[in-house]
Amino acid sequence: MSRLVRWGALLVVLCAGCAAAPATLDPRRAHFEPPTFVPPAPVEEHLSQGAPVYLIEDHDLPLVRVYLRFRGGSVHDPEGLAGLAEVTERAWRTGGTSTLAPERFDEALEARAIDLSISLGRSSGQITLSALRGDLDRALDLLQEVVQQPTFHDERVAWARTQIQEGLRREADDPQSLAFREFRRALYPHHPRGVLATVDSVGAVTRENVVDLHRRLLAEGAWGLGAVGDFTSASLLAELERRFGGLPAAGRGFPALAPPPEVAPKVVLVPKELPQATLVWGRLGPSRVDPEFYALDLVDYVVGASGFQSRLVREVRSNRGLAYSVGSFYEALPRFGVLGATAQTRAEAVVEVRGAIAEILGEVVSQGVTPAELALAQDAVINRHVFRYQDPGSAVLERLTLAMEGLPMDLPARYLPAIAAVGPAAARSAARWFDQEAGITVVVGPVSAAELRQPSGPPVEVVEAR
Amino acid sequence: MIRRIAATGMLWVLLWASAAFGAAESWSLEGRVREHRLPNGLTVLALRRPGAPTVSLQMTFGVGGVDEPSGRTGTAHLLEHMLFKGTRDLGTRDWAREQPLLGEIEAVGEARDSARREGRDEDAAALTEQLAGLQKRHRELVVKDEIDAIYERNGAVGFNAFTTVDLTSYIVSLPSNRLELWARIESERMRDPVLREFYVERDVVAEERRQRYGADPGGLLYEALLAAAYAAHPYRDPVIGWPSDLDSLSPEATRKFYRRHYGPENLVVVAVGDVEPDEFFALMDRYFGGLPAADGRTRRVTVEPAQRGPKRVEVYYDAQPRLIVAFHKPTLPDRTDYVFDVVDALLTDGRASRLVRELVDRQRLAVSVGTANGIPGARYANLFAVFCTPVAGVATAAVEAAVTRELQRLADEPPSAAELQRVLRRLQAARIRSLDSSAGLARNLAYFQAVAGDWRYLVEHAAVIAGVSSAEVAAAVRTYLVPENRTTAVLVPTPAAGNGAEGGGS
Repeated sequence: MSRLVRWGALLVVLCAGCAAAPATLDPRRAHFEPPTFVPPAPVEEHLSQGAPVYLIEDHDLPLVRVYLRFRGGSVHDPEGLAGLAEVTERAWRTGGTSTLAPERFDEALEARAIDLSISLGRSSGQITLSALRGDLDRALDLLQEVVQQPTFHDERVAWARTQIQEGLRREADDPQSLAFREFRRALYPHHPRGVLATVDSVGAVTRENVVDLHRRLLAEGAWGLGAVGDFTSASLLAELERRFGGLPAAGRGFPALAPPPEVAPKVVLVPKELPQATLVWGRLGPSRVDPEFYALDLVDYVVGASGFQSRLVREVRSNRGLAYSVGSFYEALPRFGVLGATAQTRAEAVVEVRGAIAEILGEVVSQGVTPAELALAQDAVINRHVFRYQDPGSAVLERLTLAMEGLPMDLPARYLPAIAAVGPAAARSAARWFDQEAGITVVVGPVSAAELRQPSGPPVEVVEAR
Repeated sequence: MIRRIAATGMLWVLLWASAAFGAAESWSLEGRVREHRLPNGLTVLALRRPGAPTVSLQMTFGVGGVDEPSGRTGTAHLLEHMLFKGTRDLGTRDWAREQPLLGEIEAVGEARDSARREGRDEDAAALTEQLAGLQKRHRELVVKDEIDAIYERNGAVGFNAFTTVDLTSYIVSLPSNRLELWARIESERMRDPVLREFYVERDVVAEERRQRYGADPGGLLYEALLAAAYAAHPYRDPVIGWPSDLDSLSPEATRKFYRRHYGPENLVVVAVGDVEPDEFFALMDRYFGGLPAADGRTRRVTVEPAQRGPKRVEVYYDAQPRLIVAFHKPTLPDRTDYVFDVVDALLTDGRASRLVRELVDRQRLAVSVGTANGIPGARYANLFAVFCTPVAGVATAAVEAAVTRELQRLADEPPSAAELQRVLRRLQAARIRSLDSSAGLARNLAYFQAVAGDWRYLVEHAAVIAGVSSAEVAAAVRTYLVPENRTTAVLVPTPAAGNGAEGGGS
């Protein structure tokens, strides 16, 4: 070994600073085959009423994760009750079950180190159960109880309301949260996505509202199960059938949102005495099933989603030192999408950063991305795809998401070929989505309206932080 | 792709994710982790895991903010940023032309910083303009972020780095057939870094500071807590640096810090995933065997004198109130530190834990409460801290009093056997869950190898924790969680107070 070491050391010394030397690899030219990996595919089963179940056995560790996913979420909160889903999420997990009072339920989980979390997002919810193999039966008992017989203890509903209200009060303490909240409000003025919970609307949520939402999620929406870990599929399926086979079949409730109407461009300013300002610009864009999704995904990579290889990060951060956080985003939902750019910069640089973003996006819109940029984006996306299913649980969750959202089940299989097939013309065309003539700009920070007004630019509206 | 400072309470998170239970367990790391030491002192660990053909890599240097000289806080973190800028080979179009230009930039940059410090505003403005011209010329010679570009093209995930008070770590995950690419790039950038684009990157870090501390009430309060709790030990200084230090960090001082601390004897490299340990060790020998030793000499660090009474700091800021209560305590491998891991779990691990149940679910004084054993670091004696977010209408004093009562109750009504059992069981499960992430495992192995001197700390921790008694918990509470050893930091809302400047209001 020691001779080998010395020889290696000698080589390295000789090669310092001369990358072309034969003994070491040339990082610029080295070519590797794309990683080959067939991710574990979930087995699809169904409970007797039709609910889908996706299973992957993985016996490496003595752990089991079970997912229950359902359609529904905050965008379906009734008028005047914005925040109902959030209150329900919290009260569901903390409000006890028909046989276990709230504190006893927590103790039952924690005595066996079972993790059980409930989340209710904008349009879908999920219960995640994680247990050691030996505790799976008990864990499934507790899951069944919390799914079918939650009690939503009145006091716990009240406390959930208070906690959500406190979160709203504290939203203004985080400039980014504040900026994105105003962004949603302005981009979706007549759409459920733009209806935001307030201290008053949360205060109006009653226990009856919560109980009713829980009932409707199971009776009127759609739900499905998934599991990954150390179990045998046949016996777990039988356990799931025994516990959940009697639940209602999928209904048509909580449908995917229709696309929001386009809004007239405007600038929203939230003045706040801070050492730094937050800028967000964004607009509506193509949905997840739009043929342009793939090209725009790649253009977004080039514009600002890929870190240092993106134009925004390179110019605003790396060349000019004007921001630590800067980039672009593109979120593709089942029936529409939203895309944009964001940055945080010191007060004196707000106008310069806004101008730089406009210039960079303008160039992308008018000239598209270069062939080299497109190739890099494609290589990166294709080569790193192997990480997507590193956790087999992600394959299970992906199927559940597609099933609940009514998206084509072959979307994942289409992804890589479609990314590889994006050519310069498609990328050129997709780049138009970054046109800032449309959309909403939000600025939070120590800035005046006058600084943001531009000749023949959109109107500037000033909004108070609280 | 954000170079970041590790989150506060990092040690706490790590211990959660890694607390071991019985060495007899078949999922123990013992027997699965392979170890190799290069003649130059570099320590290599490798752990093969089944699954996707990917590998997570971490390089951790045993150097952090605590090693910075006074007046140069922020150097370790800025150096970490600079190591993404390339080498004499990677990142340049023509090193022969670039090198003299970098010299000019440095001369003008230093002259400009001097002018600023001395208040010669006109000179500073002129020199800034001159600097901008040179920087523009320099950009023509730079291949921007070339290392990042190579990794991106090769499907890298999580190419990043983080600096704490104790350590500096460089991380990336790659498709496993790119392992040699990693060895080639990383050995070069650790041996031969070029601090190009220094002044621009320093501005980026200044923005990072504004974002994490200036505009974030949580960051601001944490910074104030450390500065108050430590009178003399460098744990009082923020890793990102005090603003005036940051404004005048120089390339030369940064290079000096690099030469002094970035040696192989101070480096741990870990690979977890689809990796054949022997092949990896051979790659390490070949590419890292020639890494020269650092200048050596560790700096003498001031020992924090015993605290003689409670300390209190208030921060005025336009935000909702929050509260941190912290106490000095010994660090690992002192047995007290293990006892505090148990205290930590008894107080806030899970909804049935004491502080969460009492303060949040029963008394409803706070919307959230958390604890951290071992802030801001673990190489030196550290703090046990309680973080509270009060609910509107409840005075922070009431929350503080409730925290004090609960801490005292831990001594008066020590944990029952069932309580201790719950804690152990959860730590055991957390340990098994942590084995499911290559990047997380790499982080834990590197962390404990660097801080505790041996990754087996992870395994032994379980056995020690299992032996911690109720009486030991009570004794630790009586010894350490006492008023004379306490520092309280409170964020006091001051709407409309001018907090545009760093550091808060009037």
